[in-house]
Amino acid sequence: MKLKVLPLALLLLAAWLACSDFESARDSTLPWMNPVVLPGELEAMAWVRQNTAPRAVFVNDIFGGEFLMGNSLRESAVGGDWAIIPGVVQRMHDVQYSFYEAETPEQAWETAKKYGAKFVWAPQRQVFPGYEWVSVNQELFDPQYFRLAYSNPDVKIYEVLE
Amino acid sequence: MNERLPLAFLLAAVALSLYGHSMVFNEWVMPTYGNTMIHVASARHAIETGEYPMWNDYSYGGGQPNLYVPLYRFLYAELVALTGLSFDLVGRLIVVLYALLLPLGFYLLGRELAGEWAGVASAFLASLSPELLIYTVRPLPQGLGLALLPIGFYFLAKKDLRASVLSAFLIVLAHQEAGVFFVGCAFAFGALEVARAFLAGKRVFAESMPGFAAWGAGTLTYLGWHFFAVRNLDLFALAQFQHHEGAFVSLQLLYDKTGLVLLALGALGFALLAYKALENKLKAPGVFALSALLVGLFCIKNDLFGLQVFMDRFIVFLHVSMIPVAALALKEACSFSGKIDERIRTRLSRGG
Repeated sequence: MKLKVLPLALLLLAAWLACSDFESARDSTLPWMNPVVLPGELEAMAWVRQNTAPRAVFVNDIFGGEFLMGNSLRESAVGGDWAIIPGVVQRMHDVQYSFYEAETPEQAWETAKKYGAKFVWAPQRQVFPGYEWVSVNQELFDPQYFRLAYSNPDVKIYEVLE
Repeated sequence: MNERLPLAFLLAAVALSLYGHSMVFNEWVMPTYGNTMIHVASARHAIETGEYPMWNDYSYGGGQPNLYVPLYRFLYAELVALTGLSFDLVGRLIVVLYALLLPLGFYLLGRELAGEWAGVASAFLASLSPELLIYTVRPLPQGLGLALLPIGFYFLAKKDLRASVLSAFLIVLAHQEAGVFFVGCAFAFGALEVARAFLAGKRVFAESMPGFAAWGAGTLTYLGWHFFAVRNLDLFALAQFQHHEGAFVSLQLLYDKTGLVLLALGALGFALLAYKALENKLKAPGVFALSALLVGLFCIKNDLFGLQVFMDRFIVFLHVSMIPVAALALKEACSFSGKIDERIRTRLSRGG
């Protein structure tokens, strides 16, 4: 059989370029593997299951909220499929700016009450409630409005007081 | 040539796909980007309570019907129930399933379009798309839709009526966007087959039936599900349409999300198919490939037609159309360069 040089050279060129594309595809994908949530957040699920009612609502960010619903069957004020949620943009805006970035503990408490939240998820990482990434401001959790119910090095859970 | 050689290369393509997707095991928990856990919630609810949370979804504080199509969640729950493994491990194993199905599906589709070696090339090219990897390396319904699409397309290109209709049903219930793309391609295929059959003097109804049947089955399936879930058919009331979710697609973005090889070969393949279509030399698989490319281009530029929804999200679906066409282009380029090689040899031997 005669070796055809041109087709072979073409295939080698395509394979060489493809190697670069393949590496590039893997590099582009790696950031999507970042779990965002912390191991302590998974550890907290056992406490959630034992100490909160099924489908209890938490104030949480999108990643933490979805992690919570998937692992414990509790709900989050934000996170999930937004296709048919009434007032969904206002909801995200409120959790972003009137809760995690609230100016006072009272404003945060009122926002939690507005969305029927019984608990607050306060992880030791940046949170994303729908608009931007922010750190959790622990000073919001004034004992007049919130009671620390659970804590591990990665997450604190506060009860929203009546 | 050894008949087992294509099979050996196909196995290598499967191995490459598995390697590409192996990053799903990188982290201490399965990927969370892209709402992976909301599907786990529905599957877990089904396992723990024995009921699917149809009328009270977990999203955004609950209280709303569960509109998301359910096939992936049912599959997830079944796999957990059958194996007894954790949700986390099953999620990662679902990704392994996608990694296996993708090269095999693209092999079938490429082979139907342009023969055995185009099938093999197609299986390899499936590992080059960054978008395809991003969407199939996470346990998501998108991944299931994308893994089923090449198989559904294979049945359409073959004009297997029953399998095409079944594919439409499954893909639509696996993932909405994949379903939209599949029924769009099926309709365009039916329409182009009407034109081809008319020009060739063939029976128009028989030639176009598989495409139109798959389109009808998929459309009715989704509308039925949507009405069952929310008691209306107002698709444009969905938040994705209302808020125009998605980004505009520029050539630079298309290049970044496609890669050099796939984009160059895809463009060459498109030109080849268009040329053959103008010469009226396309057979049914070629007509299907052209239809799917045109629908893919329409989807990524749907802002030009007033829709403006998910333009960038459809790039990955364009890739599904593009991969077998790129494989066709590679095969044709090799064939053409082989002829040049032959001529050069002939001239050199004459000169010698």
